Amino acid sequence: MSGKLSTERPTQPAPKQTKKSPAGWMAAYSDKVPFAALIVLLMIVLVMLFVNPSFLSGNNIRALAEQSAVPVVVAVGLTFVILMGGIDLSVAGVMAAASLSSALLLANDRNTLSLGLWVIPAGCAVGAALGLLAGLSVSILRVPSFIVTIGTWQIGLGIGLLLFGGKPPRVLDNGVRDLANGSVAGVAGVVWLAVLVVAIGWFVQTRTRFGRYAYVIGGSEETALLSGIPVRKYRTLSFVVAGAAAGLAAVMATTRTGVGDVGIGGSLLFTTIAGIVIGGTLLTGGRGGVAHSVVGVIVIVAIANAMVLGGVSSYIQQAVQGVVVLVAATVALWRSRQRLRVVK
Amino acid sequence: MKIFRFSRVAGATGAITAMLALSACGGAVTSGSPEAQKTTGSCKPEDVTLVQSGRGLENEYYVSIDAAARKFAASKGLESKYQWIASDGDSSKQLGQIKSILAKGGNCVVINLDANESSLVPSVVKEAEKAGAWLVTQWNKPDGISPETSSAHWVAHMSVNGVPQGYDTAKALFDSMGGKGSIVALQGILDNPPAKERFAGLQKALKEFPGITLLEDQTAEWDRTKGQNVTQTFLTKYGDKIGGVWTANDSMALGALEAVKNAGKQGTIKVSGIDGLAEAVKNVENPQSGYVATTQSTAAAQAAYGLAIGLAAATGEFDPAKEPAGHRSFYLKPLPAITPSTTSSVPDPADISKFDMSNIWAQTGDPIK
Amino acid sequence: MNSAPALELRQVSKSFPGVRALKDVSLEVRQHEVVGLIGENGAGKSTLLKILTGIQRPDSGTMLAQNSEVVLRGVTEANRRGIAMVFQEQSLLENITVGENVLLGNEGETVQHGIYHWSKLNERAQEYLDIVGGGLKAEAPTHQLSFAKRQMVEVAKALASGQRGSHDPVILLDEPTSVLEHEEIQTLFRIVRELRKRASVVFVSHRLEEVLEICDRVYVMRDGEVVGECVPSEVTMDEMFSMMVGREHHAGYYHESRQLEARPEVRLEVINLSGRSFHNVSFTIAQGEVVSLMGVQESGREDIGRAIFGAIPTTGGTVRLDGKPLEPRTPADAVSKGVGYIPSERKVDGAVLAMSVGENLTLAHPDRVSSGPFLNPALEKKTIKSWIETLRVKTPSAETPIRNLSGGNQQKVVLAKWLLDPELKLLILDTPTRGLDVGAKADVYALIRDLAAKGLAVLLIADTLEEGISMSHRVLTMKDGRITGEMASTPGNRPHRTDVLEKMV
Repeated sequence: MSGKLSTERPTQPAPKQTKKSPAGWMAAYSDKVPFAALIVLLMIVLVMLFVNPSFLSGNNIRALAEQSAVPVVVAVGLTFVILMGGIDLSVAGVMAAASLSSALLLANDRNTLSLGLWVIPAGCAVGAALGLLAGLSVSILRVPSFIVTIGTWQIGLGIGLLLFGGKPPRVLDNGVRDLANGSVAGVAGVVWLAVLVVAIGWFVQTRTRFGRYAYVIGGSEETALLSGIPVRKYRTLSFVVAGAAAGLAAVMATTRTGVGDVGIGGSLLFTTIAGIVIGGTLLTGGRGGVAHSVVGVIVIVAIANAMVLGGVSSYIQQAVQGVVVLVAATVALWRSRQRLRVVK
Repeated sequence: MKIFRFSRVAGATGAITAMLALSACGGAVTSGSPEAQKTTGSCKPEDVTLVQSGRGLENEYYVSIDAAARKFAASKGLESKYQWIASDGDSSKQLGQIKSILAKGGNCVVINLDANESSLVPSVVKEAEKAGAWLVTQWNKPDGISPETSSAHWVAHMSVNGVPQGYDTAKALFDSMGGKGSIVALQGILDNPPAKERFAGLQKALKEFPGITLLEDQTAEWDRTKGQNVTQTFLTKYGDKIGGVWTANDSMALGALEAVKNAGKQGTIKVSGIDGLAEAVKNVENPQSGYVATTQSTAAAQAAYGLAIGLAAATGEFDPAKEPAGHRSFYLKPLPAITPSTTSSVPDPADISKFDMSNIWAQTGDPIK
Repeated sequence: MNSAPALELRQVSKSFPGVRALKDVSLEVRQHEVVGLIGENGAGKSTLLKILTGIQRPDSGTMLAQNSEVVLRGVTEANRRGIAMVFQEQSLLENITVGENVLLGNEGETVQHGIYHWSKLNERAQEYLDIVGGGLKAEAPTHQLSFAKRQMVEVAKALASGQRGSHDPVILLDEPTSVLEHEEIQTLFRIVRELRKRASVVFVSHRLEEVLEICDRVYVMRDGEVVGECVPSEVTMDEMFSMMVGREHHAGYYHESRQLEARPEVRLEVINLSGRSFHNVSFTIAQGEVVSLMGVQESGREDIGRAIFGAIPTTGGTVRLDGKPLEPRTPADAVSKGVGYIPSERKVDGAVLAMSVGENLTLAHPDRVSSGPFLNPALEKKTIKSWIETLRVKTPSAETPIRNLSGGNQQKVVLAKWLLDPELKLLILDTPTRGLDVGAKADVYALIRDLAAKGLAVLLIADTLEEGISMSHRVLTMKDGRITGEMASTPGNRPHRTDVLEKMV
């Protein structure tokens, strides 16, 4: 029996009319703007004003932007998977494959290839291919994305390992490296690339069928199916997008560090997923978005940066970071906690 | 951030190995099987299987370990009986691999083990003893137990003393700075023994160089990207005050070097690492790089002497039970640091041809207490 | 204008394993009329709707749209034929805009090459929203809308989906009033009347009054068959009720003849009680008295019930039960002192839901089925059986988990649990009949009468105006968290609806 037509169902409490109190006003727009994460960011800034004002110096802002660029790109892609209620854990593997491929395609100390900037689409393609594999497995074989992407993670690592061959290939294409690291109009190339990716992500989220249906599918797959939406197609596409983004991120990270590295995305899964959750994108799907994820990731990067600037001892940094993440996640999820509240 | 990932894995596998370790504690000392009673090996050299275990070949160090171990096996005509096993950071996987090898090979197996975590060692010792096989361990073992107090089949434990490594590279760094100025330091994962030892070496050197100030130390968790990020932040925080970056390994040092380059300070700010990664050595060779020191790779010595000692025990060349404690738990002799003036004499990290393999204790240094 | 019926079913039958859900059902929906479909749960309404929307296909019989036979293979195909349903459980997505919801899967030329043209989309959606009225804006986020407004959006969405056919659409409304408050129902009726100008409407409801008010024609269903077709102006409520339940409606829907005089002893005293959403509320309930608390949504009436029970905090005032203060006010304390509370969300307690009908009836009061210290299985069985019969609980057996029962039957079991409790003094009922069909409602009303007859004080937060007025000895009206009026209510001398309404708004 379809649940939709069943006459027996729990009575839902009627949603309250939103009053325009500050909290209500924020509630009304929090789907568009990640207030909670911005508040956390603001708190970090305020604390740092007292602790070490150089946090806000031009140099440090630039450093923050450079350090955020790679995880932000990963997070933008991942956002669409999570919006649809899926998860992609393969970041580290996809990046391993894409990092090694791109290092070997750029001028390097291993072969004579030198694709220059063509390495960007190439890296995306490697990621997209792994994403396609994950997406098809999820939507056609109906294996949970959690499992599938652990699989593609391993496949990506395997490809990376195969290409690694014992010694990390060094990128010798100084033109591309300078573009990535050197400043273009005062800002590093990787940052410009990240800004471009965020802009594209924002456009996709707000103006395209894929982006809008991500919300629909994450909100209720059943409703999406009843409305004649080809859910499988869009779900597959979401993994392709996430894979391509991770591939691009790998290219950026590779040109930034100058070496093809299997472990290049090792710590990014935590940064991006924690960032996405802090931003207010629910892992159950349907809520949040690109802007949320971006701010969330910046919060995570800023915490790490602030602790070094604040001279927090390495020994307690981990704990401090854990606490800040916990607080940030609590603030970010406060509203949905209220939404789920049960009155008995 | 890495610790989050790290501790999650450790949490899961740690629980398993803790249980294994508990059940193993008694058995490692007193096992009743007849094979275990024999403390001298009686294998024919051509029957011995050589097993080198490590994390995985995505890591340059293990690539060298495998290559050196293979060369050693070839030198003994045992190339076809050599086996490399990768744990991929998974303790239960490592234990499983060892168990199945022991089940096949019995008492003529020599294992040179780089245990994924120290709590795994007692279980492997017990398995080796049960099978009558011969075990040499590298880097990790739990405090309080050692080959000389446990079992003849745990032939030896060898490790690399991080203190001289940290000290030598720090000295080279300080010398390159003219003996004065300020530095920042990047540590490894804080609770790793090598991280502690290497940092202790740095502190020892600092005492000898009153002109050098340590502005701050932070962990970058052995990671290249983190090394780059933390150094970038240090540069913001201390600006021109920084004259040098001491790091506990080459990955972090290479990350730091990128940050220094991107800040336009290459050559002005000196960087040092440890481990002898090829890329690091190449940088040290280039006087313009500002990369002033690393250490020689210990991979070849660890692989070759680890297997050699195990092989000697298996073939009955010596009786582990009768060896002095200094031959059972020891540090390798410190290898000289690589500085711009010594780069011409740096051997390949997998090269064993310079070693005196006729004396299995040739590289045995200070005992581990 | 084409006078062929918009939709027609001929001799449609449908069976599920063990159940004949529909038997030779024939009916027609004429153009621009509102057809009522009424029946108890299990009468076959749901199956019929599923067939009309293509979710299920009939075993035999035919379906015709505009005189030509159609076979529907799914909702999308039904939409293409101009048939669209407003789901009872709301199918709107909270996380997209109202306009997107209205045109979901049906965006047409407002999305080109995968790119949204928001102005076009909003404009198009607004056309449908304007038809249903209520000042709905296409750009608004959906999660901010009240339940009632969402339902209006659902209607607009159905209208948009149905517009894909070549004729005026047929809009199916599945129990649209079950979650609405009184004034919202009036708004819905206005919309239905508006819809009738451009569509045919099938109105499925369990509320007799509403069907009689809004429909041009009504089909009455029972046990999978159409047992009657009538025109509202020609039948009375009691006639229709009898048709539905198949038994004489002797006692009347609300069992008003069983309303006894309240006893003089005051049972519950509420003095100047204040809380988050109510202020200085004072009233009393005597033994054997049913007092209903009437107010619009957010008037604070539900919170008063919860506050007396101790489920939410109060900021001032006292509550006395039989002269003794009810302190501290926690649910556990309230229960131990003889206060019962039935929330409107019946399914909140999973543990109870997993228990069987029999356990639910007896476990709370094992003394009733024990001889001495031992449980008496024979007595237990007999007691349970007699309760199941008295209450007409439709359950395959006493061992069936309660969650497998229909809402009405669950509610009967929950109420019967309290009936068995000899210590119960006060029962707070928060919309106890919400979502139930008429037959079950009538049974629940009878139970409430029985409880009052035992001397219980009952605080009833009624689902509808009629229910509150007809069931109670006294009506208290509330507005903005304050009591605004008190009216006595006896059979034959009930307060007038408009008088009650006036004090509420």
